[in-house]
Amino acid sequence: MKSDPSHLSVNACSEDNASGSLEAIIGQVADEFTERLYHHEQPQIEEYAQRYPHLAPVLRQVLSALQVMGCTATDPLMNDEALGTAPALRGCLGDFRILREIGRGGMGIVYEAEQLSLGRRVALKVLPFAATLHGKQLQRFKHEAQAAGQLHHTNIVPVHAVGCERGVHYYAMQLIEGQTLAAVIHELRGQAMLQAEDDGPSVLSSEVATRLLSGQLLREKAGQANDVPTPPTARRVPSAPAAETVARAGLSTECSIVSQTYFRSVTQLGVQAAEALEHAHDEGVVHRDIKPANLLVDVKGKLWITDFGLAHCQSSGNLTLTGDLLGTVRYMSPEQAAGKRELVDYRTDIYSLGVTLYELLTLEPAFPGSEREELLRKISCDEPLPPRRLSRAIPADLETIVLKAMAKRPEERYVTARELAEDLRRFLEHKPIQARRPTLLERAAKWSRRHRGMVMSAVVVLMLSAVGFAASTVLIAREKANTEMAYQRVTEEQSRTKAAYEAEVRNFRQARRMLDFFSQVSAEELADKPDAQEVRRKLLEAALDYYQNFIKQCPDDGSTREELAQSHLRVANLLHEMGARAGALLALEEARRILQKKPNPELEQYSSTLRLNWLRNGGPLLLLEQRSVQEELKFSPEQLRQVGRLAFRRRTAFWDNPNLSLERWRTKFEELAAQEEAVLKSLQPQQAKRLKQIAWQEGGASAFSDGELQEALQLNGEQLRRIEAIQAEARRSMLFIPGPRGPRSEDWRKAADSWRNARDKVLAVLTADQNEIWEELIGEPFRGQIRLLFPSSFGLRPSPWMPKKP
Amino acid sequence: MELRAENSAETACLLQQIRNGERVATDQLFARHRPELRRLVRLRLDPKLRPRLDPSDVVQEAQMEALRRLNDYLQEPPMPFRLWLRKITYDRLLMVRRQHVRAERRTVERDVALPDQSSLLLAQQLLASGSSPSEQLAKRELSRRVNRAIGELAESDREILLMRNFEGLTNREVSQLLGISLAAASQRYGRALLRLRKILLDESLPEGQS
Repeated sequence: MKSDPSHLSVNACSEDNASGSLEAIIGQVADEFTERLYHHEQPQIEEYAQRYPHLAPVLRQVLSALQVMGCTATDPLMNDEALGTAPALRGCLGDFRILREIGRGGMGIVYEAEQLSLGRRVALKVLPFAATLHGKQLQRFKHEAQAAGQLHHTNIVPVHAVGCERGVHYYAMQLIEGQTLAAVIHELRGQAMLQAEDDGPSVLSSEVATRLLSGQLLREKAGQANDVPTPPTARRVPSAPAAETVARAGLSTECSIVSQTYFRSVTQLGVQAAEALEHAHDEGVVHRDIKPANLLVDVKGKLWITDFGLAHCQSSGNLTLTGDLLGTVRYMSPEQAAGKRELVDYRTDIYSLGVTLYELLTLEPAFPGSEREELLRKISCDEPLPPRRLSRAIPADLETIVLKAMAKRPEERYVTARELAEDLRRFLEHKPIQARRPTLLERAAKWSRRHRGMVMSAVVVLMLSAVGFAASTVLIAREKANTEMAYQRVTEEQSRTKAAYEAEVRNFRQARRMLDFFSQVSAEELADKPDAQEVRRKLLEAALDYYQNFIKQCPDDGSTREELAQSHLRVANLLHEMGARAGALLALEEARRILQKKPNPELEQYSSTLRLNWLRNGGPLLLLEQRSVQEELKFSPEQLRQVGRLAFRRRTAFWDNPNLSLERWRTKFEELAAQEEAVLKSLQPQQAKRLKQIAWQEGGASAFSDGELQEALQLNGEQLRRIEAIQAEARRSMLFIPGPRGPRSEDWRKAADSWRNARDKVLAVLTADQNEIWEELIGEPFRGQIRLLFPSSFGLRPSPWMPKKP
Repeated sequence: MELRAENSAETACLLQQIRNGERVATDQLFARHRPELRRLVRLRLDPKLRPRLDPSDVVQEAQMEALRRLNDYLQEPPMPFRLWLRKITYDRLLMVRRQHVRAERRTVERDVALPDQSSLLLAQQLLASGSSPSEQLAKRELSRRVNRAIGELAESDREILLMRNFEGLTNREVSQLLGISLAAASQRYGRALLRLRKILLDESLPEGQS
């Protein structure tokens, strides 16, 4: 054999002690090489061989070995769960004959395939992660995929089939001839750099990118386009002296596109994406993984959203997330980044679309970085650099729209995807947009939210002065005591004459204000704490109970009109918090009616019907939105979809216009009521029974206000009276536990305990026989968690639909 | 220097939830790490022990142990959670392996359970640029030899290769686990690679000559 002298010398040398330095060098090179492999770079072996010529032969062997080994550790398909379930697919998979691989990503491999029975070409996505799902998760995945499969919209890639063959889960979709926006951005970025360096001719290989740039994809009537399509231009933007820009200079390509036509094309794509999302949300389907790689553009300029309903399953799978998924992290919403899965709703999609548009406009990621942790932190904490800081050519209105869509807090974003679409369209039509730039105050509020610990005391002071109270902790403590006494007096008054009660109203007014304040502070403070959501919901319920009680007892004779209206507004706000739109609007309308002194018999009739409806069905309906309850009741995919749809409608039906005509309100009410009715009717008898049981178990002492329960237990007058007293006491303690110092977890635990104790107290009032009946009525204990699904919109900002004070 | 040896945002978030008394978070936290722990055990479990010992059992026992010690960990975390959990699992694995070996009263051949395909590639890569006529070797034989070569390495050499290249730990994480400096960890890595190469080259010489 031929012997290579350098091998021998290395071999000989590694035997003696002087080899330490060799080991160190090999170790260092191997370190660097391995690290780069993990980051999906493709380090060149020859590069290292040239750097250390005397070690070249050894390095060639060792590094090429590393190249092989490195892949086994990072390739998600080689993970031991997935191993063997994701073979290079050849031949047929059920009805599909695989033709070629189109692409691969974190979600799996996409093949072009032929559907044999129909003789058509399809895109077949094979999902390796599905192999790691089991039982319930798999069921859930199938449901979601089916729900997504039923979306029909011109901008959503239709799903032909979802199936499983030989343990391989797949998803067959219409084959789109086009490119992902990720590829387009990549190409435009390269183009912008080239153009910046020499004003050479366009060298774009992809038709989509070329057309996008030159405005050929603009779908507007010729007469409407104000700016003449300009040839694609790109130029280097001079560094602004701003600190952020300088800091980024090393990283960014600092290139941008200045063609107005391009921005209009991007806006068009945004409109299409937003409309598709609107449709999906309306059907109760949230995408959860909107990003450039999931948006396709075909050669006609039509945008297609793909991969609906997959992201959710993926995050619940057990895959170790690796490099491939970094792309997903970059477009995650802050609530996703923080792992608050229960707060993730359709507004996550609005955010991610905003981030995608940002990148299309600036050709820079909104949050640069290559480390997962770093990205997550930036998404949660940093405001993105305004697009116009990257390129002055970007229209200011467009910047405002994009930044609003990607606001950190869900409630600061567009309320629906449709609103976003409409604002984008307004921009295209040169009309004034609805989004506003944040005022100084709002920016200060954002800042203080991020530095909560530091400014908490300052915020309390601010809120106090905002509500018109003098601010000092001592005073608060005293006021709190006063309020408590006032409340107690009022409670005692309940049994006295009405006249005496009215004399108390003055004090009561004061008491109520304090209550408003406390429930506001605590609700706001709790909004961000996932562990306190259950308590918070109870708190809102208690507050709601309290206000409704107040309304019941308040004479509507003018003397307390203002108070009464205010209480109705509070109720409206609370119901809205709890997701009960119809109820909230009723309360709102009551408030209006009172304030305008214009009784409206027609509306009142509606009010009473709907209120009855709400009292009968509202609570259970809200429970149906809880994931844990859905699982307990073993919802069918159709039911899941129905409830998702209803939840979305209930929350958004009235958002679009706060000044709807009575006529429109009525139709919307009717629609909602009909849908609520339909959902309840769709329940199997077994499900309906269990739902009622859960409602009773979760209702605390309030459950005993249910007429059906009262009848079943045959409560006597004395018992009813004592139960009412217990309920009042529970409400009171729920409202008074939180202090302005910010909640401590033991406070909330105490509050939750007192709520639970209240039920035990009620049970103590019952006889042994009644207790037995109760046990039987409520069935098996419900073990799921109930969470408040909507984050708070209490606090500094009034809800947009609250009417201005007359 | 890159600081990867810290808790990821999700892990940190879950740990916080556990501190706040949310029990569900514990399940989530452990579930997150299960696949990589199973992988760790699988790589080191003698295939001959497989019929009697499932990697999942080892992982489950290790996680029970971790659960018992979780409070201590939360009060004073000695290292990132992922590494801590790995350490417990590794110790548990050593214990289990010792028990079984003792019970069998025989020397266990140190075969490493690398995926077949990758050890084959690895062998080809290592030998292709050398002087051995690797093409003549039966593929099965080749992969067996690499497994054995890795098995023939001293425990510490083998460990470092498995940690870096099959579990995907960074140099910083390895140095923290072994309690040695960054430079020392990287030097050991280099040494292990050189030794592996030497074993394979030595072995292939006689056959190349025949």
